[in-house]
Amino acid sequence: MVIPLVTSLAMSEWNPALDFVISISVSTLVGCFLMTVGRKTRRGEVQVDWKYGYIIAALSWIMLMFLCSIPYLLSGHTGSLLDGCFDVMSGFTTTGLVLTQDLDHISTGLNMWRHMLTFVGGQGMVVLALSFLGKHIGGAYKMYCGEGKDVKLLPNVKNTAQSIWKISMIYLLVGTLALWICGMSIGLSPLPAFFHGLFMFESAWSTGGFAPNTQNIMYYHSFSFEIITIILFVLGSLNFGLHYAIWQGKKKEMVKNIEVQSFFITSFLISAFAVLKLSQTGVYTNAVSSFRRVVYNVLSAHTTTGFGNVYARQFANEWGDFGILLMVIAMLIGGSACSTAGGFKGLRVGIVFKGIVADIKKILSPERNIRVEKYHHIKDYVLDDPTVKASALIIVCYMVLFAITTLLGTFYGYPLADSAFEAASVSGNVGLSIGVTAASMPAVLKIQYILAMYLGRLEFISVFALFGFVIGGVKKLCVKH
Amino acid sequence: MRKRKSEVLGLLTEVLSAVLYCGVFFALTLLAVR
Amino acid sequence: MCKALKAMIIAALLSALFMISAGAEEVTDINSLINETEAFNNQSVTVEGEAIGEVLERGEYAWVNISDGTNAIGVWMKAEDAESIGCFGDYKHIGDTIRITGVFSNNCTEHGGDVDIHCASMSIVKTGYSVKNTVSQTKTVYAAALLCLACAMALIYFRSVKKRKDSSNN
Repeated sequence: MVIPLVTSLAMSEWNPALDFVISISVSTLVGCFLMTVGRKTRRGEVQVDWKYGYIIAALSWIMLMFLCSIPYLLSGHTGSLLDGCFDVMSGFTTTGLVLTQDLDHISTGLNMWRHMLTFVGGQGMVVLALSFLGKHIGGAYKMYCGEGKDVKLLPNVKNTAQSIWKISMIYLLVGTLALWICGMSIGLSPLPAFFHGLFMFESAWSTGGFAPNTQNIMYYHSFSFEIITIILFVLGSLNFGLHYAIWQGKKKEMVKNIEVQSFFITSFLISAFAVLKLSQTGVYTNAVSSFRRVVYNVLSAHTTTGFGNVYARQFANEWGDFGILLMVIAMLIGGSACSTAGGFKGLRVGIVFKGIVADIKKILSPERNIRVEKYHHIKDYVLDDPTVKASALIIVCYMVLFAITTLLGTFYGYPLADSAFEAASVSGNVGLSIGVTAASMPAVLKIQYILAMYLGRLEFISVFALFGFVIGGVKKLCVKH
Repeated sequence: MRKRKSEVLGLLTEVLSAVLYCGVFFALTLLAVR
Repeated sequence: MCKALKAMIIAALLSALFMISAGAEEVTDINSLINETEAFNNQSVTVEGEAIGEVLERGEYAWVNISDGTNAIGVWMKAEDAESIGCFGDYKHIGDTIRITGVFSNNCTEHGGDVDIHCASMSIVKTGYSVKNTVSQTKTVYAAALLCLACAMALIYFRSVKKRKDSSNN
């Protein structure tokens, strides 16, 4: 919160500066309180089991959601506490749906805060904490896994967390510079161009989808700006383990990796069908338009970024059911595991697909043959049943979440295609909207969307652990009395 | 020093791959929409 | 008799004039344009909105994004017209309200499929102004109080941790 405070002070925005002072103070107070309550764990007197790691990750996200909504609430641009929490959760989970009103008039400080939230959320709050906090964090790896990541770049979790930050910070410099220069070349003046560059980088890399203006990426009316964002969000959606491997010199990883292959195939197929269908229906018949409005949005959906290059209602009115369903599929499949992206993740899709192929081969080949299927993800792994089962189960969880959210949308009267689109957008942490997300949405639907974003991002296990823990605790209390 | 060099090369590889990826998609769009 | 007749003819002519100009100046809100892109495609429309952000100059022409509270859209206009806009909307300003008459495209071939309005004529309806963001006294008091409390708590906490470390070392 110090960064937005400094930004506001630098831009002479006094009200927002005060908002951040208040938020910092409240957060410090809550932090001191929690540290006092948890002092036994600090002294290493409590064993941190796996379940605690997951619960800590899940609970810290909820607490942070409330604390981080304070600047929004004080700014007057949000309708209610619920709306503020929605926007914070949308930022943390790098979704990108917005309930904040009148984006074109918010302070630079608040914009800095929004985009920072999505940048940090993409990395992971637990990852942030682990890279800073000291040596004696019991159960660090367990908390890291609780946030939906499990790739170990380096033996020590703290070093892994710091590596992830290093990669992101270097890209921050390179990306912001590229967007800044591009921004100035398309007509923005230097200081705004810098802020737009920084904000759009943070949003693209974290595959968030926030933008400093209401029109999202359409504000810029620029093909070159859009291309740079495509490069940034595609790279941002890649697995951090992959980045690390390539930066260590293993360049072949870029082609051999199962996730890259899976992503390339699915993104290509979906874009091809979308382009063909939309040109057939006469919506986009010009190559540049097709690329900018169809391919861009499909890639934005598939990487779960959420930069929208058409207006929300255009999806509903112009893309037709086929187009909408293609987008739903792209949004659900999502990006790479252990990255800033959401969705099922390409790794799981690749594993399940290969698993099905392996099963078919097993049936067709002579019974005495023992086949061992492998897949390549940084290293070679054996494709065994437990692996396929684990992937398939999480995919099932996502499908169930998607189904429930769609169902709830239709309950409130939204058309099926619209509900499904929005449900896929929240479950996959995408951020494209077909028009359902609005301040006038029913409160229950807002809560469901917050829950869906949260579950989708943390990949279910930690949130289930938290619920289980809380219910177990309540049961114990009831038994006692 | 060697570590720094491999990191820079890695960064360049990634950016170039992404540019190539965009290029392929653009070419395919051109072909699809004549 | 003659005078009365003359007066009636003049009145009729004037009202006819008003009717014609009213028809041409029907302002559509931006959200309606976007909800019915097919209907408005390639039609001449009139919109009125606040100029936001800044001018994006592209040589002889420029983009000006306008927002009318329902939605926002980009307007492609001559650079000289854009330069006549004095104030743009952001945190500290409410921008000039401008009225644009131009052709709406839902799939502009000149601009890669963009939804935009190519401006034929523009006029400034209301000039913008700086917004006075007054800092409320209550907020300042709360901020100062909370800050002091937070600093105090943090100091107490760190001192007690240090004490415990010292005593456990000794």
